[in-house]
Amino acid sequence: MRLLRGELRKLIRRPASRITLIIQLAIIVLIYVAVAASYRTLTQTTTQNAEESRAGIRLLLTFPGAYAGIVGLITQLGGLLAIGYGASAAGADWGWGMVKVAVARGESRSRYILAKLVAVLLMVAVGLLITFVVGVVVAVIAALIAGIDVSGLGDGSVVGQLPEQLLRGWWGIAEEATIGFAIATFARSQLAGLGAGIALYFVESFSTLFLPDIVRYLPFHVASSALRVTTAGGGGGGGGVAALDPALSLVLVTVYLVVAAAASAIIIERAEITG
Amino acid sequence: MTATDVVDGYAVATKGLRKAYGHTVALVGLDLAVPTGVVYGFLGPNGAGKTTTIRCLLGLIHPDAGSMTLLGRPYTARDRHRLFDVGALIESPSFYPYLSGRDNLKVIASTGPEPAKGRVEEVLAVMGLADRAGDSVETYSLGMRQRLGIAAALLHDPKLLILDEPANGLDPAGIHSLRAQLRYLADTGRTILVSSHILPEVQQLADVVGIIDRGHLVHQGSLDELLRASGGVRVRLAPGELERARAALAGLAGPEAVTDSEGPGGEPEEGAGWLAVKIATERAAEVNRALAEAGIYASGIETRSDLESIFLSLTTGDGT
Repeated sequence: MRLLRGELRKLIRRPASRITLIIQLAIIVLIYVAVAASYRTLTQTTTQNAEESRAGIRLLLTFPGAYAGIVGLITQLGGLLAIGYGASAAGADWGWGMVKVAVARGESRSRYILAKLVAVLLMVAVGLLITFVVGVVVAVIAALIAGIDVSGLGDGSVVGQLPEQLLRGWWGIAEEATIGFAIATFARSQLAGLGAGIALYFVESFSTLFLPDIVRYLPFHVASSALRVTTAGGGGGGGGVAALDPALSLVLVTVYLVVAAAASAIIIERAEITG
Repeated sequence: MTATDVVDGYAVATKGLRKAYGHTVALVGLDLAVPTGVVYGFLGPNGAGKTTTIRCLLGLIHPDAGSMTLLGRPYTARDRHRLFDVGALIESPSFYPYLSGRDNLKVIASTGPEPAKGRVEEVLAVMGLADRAGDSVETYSLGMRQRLGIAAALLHDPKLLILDEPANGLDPAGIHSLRAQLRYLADTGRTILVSSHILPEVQQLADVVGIIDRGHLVHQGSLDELLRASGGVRVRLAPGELERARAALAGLAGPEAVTDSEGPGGEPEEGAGWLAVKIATERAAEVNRALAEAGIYASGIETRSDLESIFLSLTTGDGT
């Protein structure tokens, strides 16, 4: 617990934690402001297209259905940011020479790296909750600006499912953060981890064009499939890929997360710390 | 030495320690023996293997062959708990730049052995950082970071301190304070292994020195003995008496031990000549007597025993 507290202390005060959260919040606010503004503009036109667009926006801003949109948006966007955040947390320790300090104090290498990973995943959970709350508030404001009724906000049947939805979303993001973390641990650099993690994310997305049957089993797509049960078409880069069964997706997400965490531990156990 | 040996009397001992990075061999069977309770000066030119040795001792890298003991017990990479009694400052001090000095120490204290309550404030005060403890480390000078690094090494009150270039970036007052602090720690029974480039500093601080060159230990032993055995005596004479004096001193120390020397500033001195005798500094009186018995009276006599010249004579001398 002492080690975990130390890791949390570092992450809470780390500018990267605040910056990642601010980026996520800013994008969500911008999206909902843009949606509300578009709706108001569309109400002044009477074309067929405008009517279809208004219907789409109404779907996005009408509660309780809007919850699914919010969860889908924050988990999809959060997944990409989590890769960077995980890479940043693992890579910075190498860059600042703090791995050698911990090892030279007799700390267990794998315990150290796993405590750091747990701290990252806890921070991701807190970030997800904050973003969700802000997302709901912004969506309500956007709905009010657009003149859409928000009486479905307290719909018990949907609100009751939110904890499970958020938990699934967090687990998917956790897998993505862990992959970024493992890459940075291997590369010993936050920039290399960040770059390689995001590149992998997009390579997997583009691969759907050529290998859709294989890609749907790959890490970022299974994370998306795990979310898809909760959202209307959410998920990262899943394009034309058929989603896996959500239960199978969760199992695969867990497998990828555990493998990435174990790889981080093995890498650091075997590492020659010369920097 | 087997893995079960316990080496009494030594805080650090290595036997046949070997480490290569690819085709570059950094350590070639290093046999180090650091007695308990001393300040041990670990010297060597750049690339001699000092940092590699320290990394092996701290479990950062894995030696290819050989054995190590720490605080009298066999030590391998699996015995990480042995490092609970070791404090270290490795190369440049490492910190989280966005955290304060105090928070950095708290974070470091969350790894390895748990320090006593209040120890963070104690070491901050000892290293003269209490006033700036709340400031972020990115605002610290190099000297302050160095002191914070030593504070971190002292956090759990270790029995053995391994310090790599601890005086880097410190001003004269800081060096003086560090010397006093290390001396105090050594006097209270701790062992301090100091790797340093600043030879006069090591000469003032160390009890025992080990000199490493190209992965081999070329000398190890008491600094006083080394200085006595490897020092010299220089005599100032009238130019007309130089040859007679050379013969008299050759009778005392051997002909190869007597050589011409420059004046005190390294320049020839008008109206006087200098001879250097390679002889233990404590035998300076015998030099004087040998000259007097030959009817020669030196107008000046000085002893010379500096670690730097000994170091350069023992190593390839391309730096420290």
